[in-house]
Amino acid sequence: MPFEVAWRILAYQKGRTALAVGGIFIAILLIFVELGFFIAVPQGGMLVYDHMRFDLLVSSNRYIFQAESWHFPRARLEAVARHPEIVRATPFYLGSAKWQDVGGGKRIDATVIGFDPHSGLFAVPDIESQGAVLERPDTVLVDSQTRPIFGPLQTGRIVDLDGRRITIGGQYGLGTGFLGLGIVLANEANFFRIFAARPPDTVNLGLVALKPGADPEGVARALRQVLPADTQILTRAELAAHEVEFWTTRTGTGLIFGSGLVVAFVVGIMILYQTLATQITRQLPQFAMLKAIGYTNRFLYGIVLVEAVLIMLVAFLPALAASLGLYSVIRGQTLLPVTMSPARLAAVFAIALFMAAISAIFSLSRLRRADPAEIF
Amino acid sequence: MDASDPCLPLLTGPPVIRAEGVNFYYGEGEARFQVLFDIGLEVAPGQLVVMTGPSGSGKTTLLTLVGALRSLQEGRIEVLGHDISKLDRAGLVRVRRDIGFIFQLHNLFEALSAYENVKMALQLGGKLSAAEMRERGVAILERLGLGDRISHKPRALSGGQRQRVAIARALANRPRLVLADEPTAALDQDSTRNVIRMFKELTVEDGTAILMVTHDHRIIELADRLVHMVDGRVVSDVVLNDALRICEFLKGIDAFKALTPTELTHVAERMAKRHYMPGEVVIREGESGHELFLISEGEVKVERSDHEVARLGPGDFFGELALLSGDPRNATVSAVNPVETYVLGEADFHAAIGASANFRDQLRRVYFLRH
Repeated sequence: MPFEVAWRILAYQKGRTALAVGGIFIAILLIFVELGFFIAVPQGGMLVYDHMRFDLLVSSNRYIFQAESWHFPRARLEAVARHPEIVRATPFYLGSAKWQDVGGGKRIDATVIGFDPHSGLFAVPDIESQGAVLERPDTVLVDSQTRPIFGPLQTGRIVDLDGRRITIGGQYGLGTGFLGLGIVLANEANFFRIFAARPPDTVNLGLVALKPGADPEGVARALRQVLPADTQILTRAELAAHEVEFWTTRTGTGLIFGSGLVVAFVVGIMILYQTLATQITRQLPQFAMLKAIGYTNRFLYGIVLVEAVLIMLVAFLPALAASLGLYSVIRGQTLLPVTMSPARLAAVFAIALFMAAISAIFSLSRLRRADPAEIF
Repeated sequence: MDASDPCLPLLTGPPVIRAEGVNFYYGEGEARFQVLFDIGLEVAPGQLVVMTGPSGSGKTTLLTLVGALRSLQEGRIEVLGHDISKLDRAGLVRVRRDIGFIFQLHNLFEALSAYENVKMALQLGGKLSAAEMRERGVAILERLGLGDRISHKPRALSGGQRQRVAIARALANRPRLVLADEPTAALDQDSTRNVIRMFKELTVEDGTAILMVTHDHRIIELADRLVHMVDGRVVSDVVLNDALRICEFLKGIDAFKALTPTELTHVAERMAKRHYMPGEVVIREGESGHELFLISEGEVKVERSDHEVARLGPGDFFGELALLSGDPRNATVSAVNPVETYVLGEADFHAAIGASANFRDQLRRVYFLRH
């Protein structure tokens, strides 16, 4: 029954209702976008891992995140590889080299990944099909998402990497994630040509592939028994949790997008509260009259709550549509995995519902001022 | 309107409102001041009671207390059979649903049409179907002359029309009690006449009691009672309706207790009020008698052969002997001070006796006691 009154009040005050719906539309849209970033940005740290074939990660115990993974003796990987359940333990090298056009100019930090192209480490078609290119001396592949400041990325261009002339042999499309602004892929030999000073017996990461049907947890436990304290073993799930936790809590990411989320939520509540409170104040005598003729407080609360939820519902669908559009723009621009999932839809809906309920509850204090004894 | 039976509600069932010793204060501590003093008030079903008094006399406060809109502080108020001092909040809300409230301001929802505003009251009971609500809501709006305004929003209505919608809302549930505060203030002549007629019909036909604060003389003319308040006290409570007044008087007299309410009404409606000045003779010994006298105010002396044999006061009656026996008057009765009597003619007296064996027996008993 409160529904009819609530609906009529909203429909009657079209201007005010439209303003409120507009405000809530913006708030819900912001929540979608902030939540999208909040969840997707940490996943950006997983981008490169997500495109590699492995079951366990071997790293230094000083590992912070992928781009700051430190290093450990290569011999550890040989020890790991002896475990019967393990097919392969592939070394993964990471280095930062100064990229400069051969004609001179700015020196820019490029991230160089060294790996064995025969290991089948990357589940990226462009990389797998260009294995032969990587075998050419002083030849590398570059990620097509490498930023424009690195200059043209066309095949055959020669650039200066840490003082060595390197040929771009081709491009691949994976995305730079949070490894750097430009990523260069090299085989082990070319990697050590670029970083000539680097001791060849240390690796940054080891990517372990297990036999089909093997239990990653079990193997990880077994390896932890064997390996000294300077190395650690992470399953894919543990790694994902670690990376997301790092990007969410140890960088500004969580704070920036998390606070954006909270701000959008609070703004939504304030807009809705303002609308409801104004509306209640304007109709205080009417509400007092309803109390006088025998309506319960619950009925009146119901009217306000239904109004809040109706405004939210009317704003939700357009906000969802707009956020789908924005998500695809963000995906195109950043390659971040900003996608709509049923869980996210449900989460934002729940947040919006909560927002409506909170603002309705706040505005009830105004309703309590409706004193039926005052209207005679 | 002839169906009026003012004795009936007085004698059957409890009063709609019974207030006793009601005190009320505003503010607290030092600032506390009393606005109602020892209010006692009874309103029977079917009565149209008008409250008058200067502003600040406590009329509206009393109205809100009777309407269960405020909590009682001291005293006792029964409304529609509920002792509201004993009710919790939910109980007060339930009592309010049985009362029709007409406020000075119409308090209509701007967003709702005339009918929908009335429906707000109709759906409170929760018993009516949508079709029944529509039928009833439309009927009452039509009765108030708003048949062509049913779907209009308040903005499209004149002040008088809005007030009539508010009246329709208050009366839609056919409440047994209506509380109203200056309900005709916003109405034009025609609407006022229409609304007053409706109030009167409600009291007469449905036995609705109406307690109303108003200074509209057109309503006061039709009121059964006029309660005047000054400074928080009821300073006068006058029954304006003669039949009602006589009923109230008759029901307190033993001889008439035997009559059924209908018979009592019958008698009351046929009684005429007659006044006598001090020393004036009411009946004279030896004359033939055709009337029964009932003293409502004052005192008379009864003399037989110039010798005072008795004095009679309010509630006593005399003159029945000549009517019962057909003999001449056996005594002279004259007023000692200003006397008001209710007089019943011979034909009506015999009709009443013929209608009620009990009444006849009662009169005979009185008769034998005197002789």
